[in-house]
Amino acid sequence: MPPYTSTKYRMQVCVCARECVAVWISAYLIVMDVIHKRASSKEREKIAQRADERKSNAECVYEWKPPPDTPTPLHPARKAPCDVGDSNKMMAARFLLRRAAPALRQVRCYAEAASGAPQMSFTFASPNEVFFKGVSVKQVDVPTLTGAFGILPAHVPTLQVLRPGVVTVFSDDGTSAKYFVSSGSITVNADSSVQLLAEEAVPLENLDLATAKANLEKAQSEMGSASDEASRAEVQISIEANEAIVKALE
Amino acid sequence: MFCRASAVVFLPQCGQVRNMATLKDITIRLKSVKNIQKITKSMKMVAAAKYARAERALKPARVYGTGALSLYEKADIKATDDKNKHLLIGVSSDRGLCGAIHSSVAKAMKNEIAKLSGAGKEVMVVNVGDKLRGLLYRTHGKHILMNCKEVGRKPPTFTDASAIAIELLDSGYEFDQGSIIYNRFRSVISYKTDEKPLFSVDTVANSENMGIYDDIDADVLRNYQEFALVNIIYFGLKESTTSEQSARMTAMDSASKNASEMIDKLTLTFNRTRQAVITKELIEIISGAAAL
Repeated sequence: MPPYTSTKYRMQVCVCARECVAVWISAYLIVMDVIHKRASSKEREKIAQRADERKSNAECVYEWKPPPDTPTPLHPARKAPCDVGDSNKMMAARFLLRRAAPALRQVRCYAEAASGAPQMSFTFASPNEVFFKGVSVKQVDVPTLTGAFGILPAHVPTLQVLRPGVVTVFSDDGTSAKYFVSSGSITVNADSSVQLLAEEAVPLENLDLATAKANLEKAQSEMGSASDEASRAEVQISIEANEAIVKALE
Repeated sequence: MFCRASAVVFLPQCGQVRNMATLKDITIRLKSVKNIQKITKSMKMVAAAKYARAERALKPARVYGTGALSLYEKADIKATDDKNKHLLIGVSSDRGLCGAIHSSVAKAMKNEIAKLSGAGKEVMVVNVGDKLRGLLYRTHGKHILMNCKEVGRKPPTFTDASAIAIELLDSGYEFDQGSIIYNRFRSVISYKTDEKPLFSVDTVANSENMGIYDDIDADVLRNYQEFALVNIIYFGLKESTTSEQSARMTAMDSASKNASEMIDKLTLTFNRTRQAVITKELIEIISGAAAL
């Protein structure tokens, strides 16, 4: 083979190779740029989301503002696909932690609500029916012999006996449910679990006001005719229960 | 119901000879076993229906019962060792044909009585169910405080449990601690004899961990304890009936299967005997004809 042809051939190959490499590098950079742009938009969304969450949850009063525009040395190949502002935000988004400190406008931040508070595991059952089993609720109002009180998570442990009245359960999503209980017991344990055991419990919607009023009048008229201790106590209980039903429904 | 036809035994003067069962005997036996199979099959159906109902009612009752017992578990209430008066409540029923239900509870109760009497404590026993009374009154009659009848015919209600508790509290036996022995329902084919603790008002009040529960006065605690007693008895009754119905179902099922097996065997014997009788008659006829 004549020597000049091989060198020419080799040079041509080298030139070809260099061009290929250049093309390949620019293609790679374009692709990476697209990926970064997509990622950066997602990251921007995430940051916005996080900022919204923080605003709604805690009482933090600071706002993250992107750092002032500093021109960054750009690779010549990148100039084509994206503009300067975009790339700035992209870099800033990627180096969030490092840049956040000097970029903070506000300094004050209130403490968050106690996040380690025990959840109340609430069990409400009657012998024939279970209303709540180990559910986490916000608050429960109960009528007891010593007065009505509301139970929140991390209530002090106690044992109480119920009297005829209305139990209101406020669940975590804000809705409340009312039940009429005849009697029973409530236990609040140290691990913030609450067991409300009612002898008879019905949702308030199932009770009829007119029937309750009629029963109340009948019981009150029987009071006069009750002779011995036991029957007098029974009539008294019946009067109390009916009064409570009437009061609950009105 | 269990009529059995016995084989005819003919005793001549010279010695003991037993005839092969005649066709008539086998027929009688076959008929009676077929009747038995019909009865056990229908008992199984009835038990299956009652079991389905009892299991459905057991679901809320279990939540209720475990809620009532949770105080004793979480506060880890234990009676001190110097307390002497014990109470055992055995939960069973009036009717038999349910496998080992009654005998397992009675066995557990006998063991407990022996253990506690050996340690010098005073034990009294409440029997819920007539079968338990029958099993216990001969040997441990002096420990029996109270018997409850008419258990098991209808599903137990909270009213029944409260009636038992009222009688127990009115009986005047001031027990310090005790336990209720019942059959805990595990699945259709299995149950386990279990024991849950009962405490008196004083024991609970003096227990060490009760200090963390605040705002409790004696009246409230007594009401709470009485209600808890009823709840525990109710829980024991519900579990017991479910176990009993499932045990009766399996027992009657195996009885029907055994009866079917017996019917098959008896039918084969009947056919063989019939053929033997025919052959004998033929032989007699032929040999009679040949002698002519």
